[in-house]
This record gives sequence, structure tokens and C-alpha cells, in this order.
Amino acid sequence: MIGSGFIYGVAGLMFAAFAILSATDRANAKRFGTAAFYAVLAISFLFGGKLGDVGNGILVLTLVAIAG
Amino acid sequence: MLVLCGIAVIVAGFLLRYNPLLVVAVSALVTGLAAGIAPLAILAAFGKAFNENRYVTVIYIVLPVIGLLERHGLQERARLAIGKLRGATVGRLLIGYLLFRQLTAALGLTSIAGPAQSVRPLVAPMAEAAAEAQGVAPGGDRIPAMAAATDNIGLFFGEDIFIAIGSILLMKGVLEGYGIVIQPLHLSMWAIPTAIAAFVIHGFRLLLLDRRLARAR
Repeated sequence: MIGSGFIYGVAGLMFAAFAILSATDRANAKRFGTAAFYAVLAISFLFGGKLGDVGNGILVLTLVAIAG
Repeated sequence: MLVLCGIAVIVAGFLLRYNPLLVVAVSALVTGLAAGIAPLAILAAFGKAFNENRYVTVIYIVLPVIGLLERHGLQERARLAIGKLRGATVGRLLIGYLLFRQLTAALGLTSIAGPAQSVRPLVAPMAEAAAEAQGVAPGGDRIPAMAAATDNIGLFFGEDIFIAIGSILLMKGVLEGYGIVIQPLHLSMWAIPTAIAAFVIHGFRLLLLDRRLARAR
């Protein structure tokens, strides 16, 4: 059975790959911002269940700070 | 009353064109503070909601598939296929797609096509290739927009024929609220003439488009 845990794991690994590939993309002027954004998403998908509510809240604020 | 401040923040933020993520976060913060909730509790509520709604972002796992297909020339393939068909015009192509979309939606297959799955990678490039054969200059949004519109019309006027769909239940529920009791099967049967009318009207518009292109040539 494929459960939501597995799907979240796959998505998390994919976002982590996006982050690494973005960080090494010299063509993108804002590459570290892009990489940080995807890294935060990856953390959320991989470890979101273990972070607790306040931890996830900090994660959201980081995401807002990067995007805004 | 003060709690509604958040709405003002949303309106002002969008008018001033700040990043939507920032606007929504600030608005939620203002609302929470106005309601007298401790900042840490607001942060926890934020985190809990975000974590519980992660699934909305899961759809992104299809992005690599579409990217890979396009990188290997899916759009170019679609263009080539149409370029080889003699007598293919934008209008005829989109009429065919309209029929396909209405028939499959009527069978309940509403998710096999759509702006992301089929219009952008396949139908729009095909329509553009046909239009270029009809003498339309490459580029511009009109032809892809017509392809997307055709997809939407086909879905909208096809899905109600299928009985087990959300919109049928919505109509049944709303009508019942006004004291009108209708069987779902009845609703879906009477969606058929509507669907035929939509096919005739939009098909006619597509033929008009062909004629306009021929005249502009």
C-alpha cells in the first residue's frame, strides 16, 4: 500500500533535489533564495510530523521571509 | 469588530501588490493579535494548519514528469503531427478536441485532460501549428487561449451528463433547499440537450475563427 507518509517522503526528497540543483545553478541570479525556499519545503515534507506546532510555525515564517 | 482588521490588511496588501504569502501571513497575525491570542499560540496555529495542509503541495510531484516530456520535445512532436495533416485548421482541430472532451467528461473521465495535463503540452502547440499553416504569425496568446477555452467549455458542458459528479449533487442540494425535489438522473439527462447546444454554439465560433483567419490572409 502506498500511504500518505510515502508520498510525503517522495515529495520531500524531490524538493530537496530541487534545492540542491537550484543552489548549483549559476544561471539563476537568485539561486540561494530559490534553494532555501525548496529546502524549507523539503524539511516540511520530510520532518513536518516531528517538528511540533511551534516548529512548523517557525518554518512557515521562514518561508514567508524568503518569498516576501 | 477589531478582529476584521485582517480583511483590511488583505485588501490593502493586494492593492499594493505585495507578495500574497506575506500579505496572508501578516493578515492572520493581525487577526490573531486583535482577538487577543498570544503571539506564540498564533505561531503554533500557523504551524499546525500548514503541516496539516501539506497535501495541497503534493501535486508538484508531477512537475518533473511534464518538464521531462517537454525537454524531450513533446510540444515539437505535437506540432509536427499537425503539420503533416493536410486540411488541419485551428477550428477543425479544436472542434475535434471539444467533442473528445465532452464525451469523455460525460463518462466521468474529467481528469484525463485539462489546462496542465493536455492543453499546455499538447493541444495549444497543435493549435498554434495549425494556425501558422493558416498564415497566423507565430507567438501571441489568442490561439492558446482559444485552446484553453475550448477545454473548459468541453468539460463544463460534458461533466453534468455523468451522474456521480459534485456539480450534480450541488444542484440537487440547492434546489432541495428551495423545496424542489429532483432525481439526480433527471438532472443528468437534461444536461444532454445543454451539452449539444454548447457543442453547436462553440463549434460555430470555432468555424468563424477559421473564416476570420482565412480572410485576414
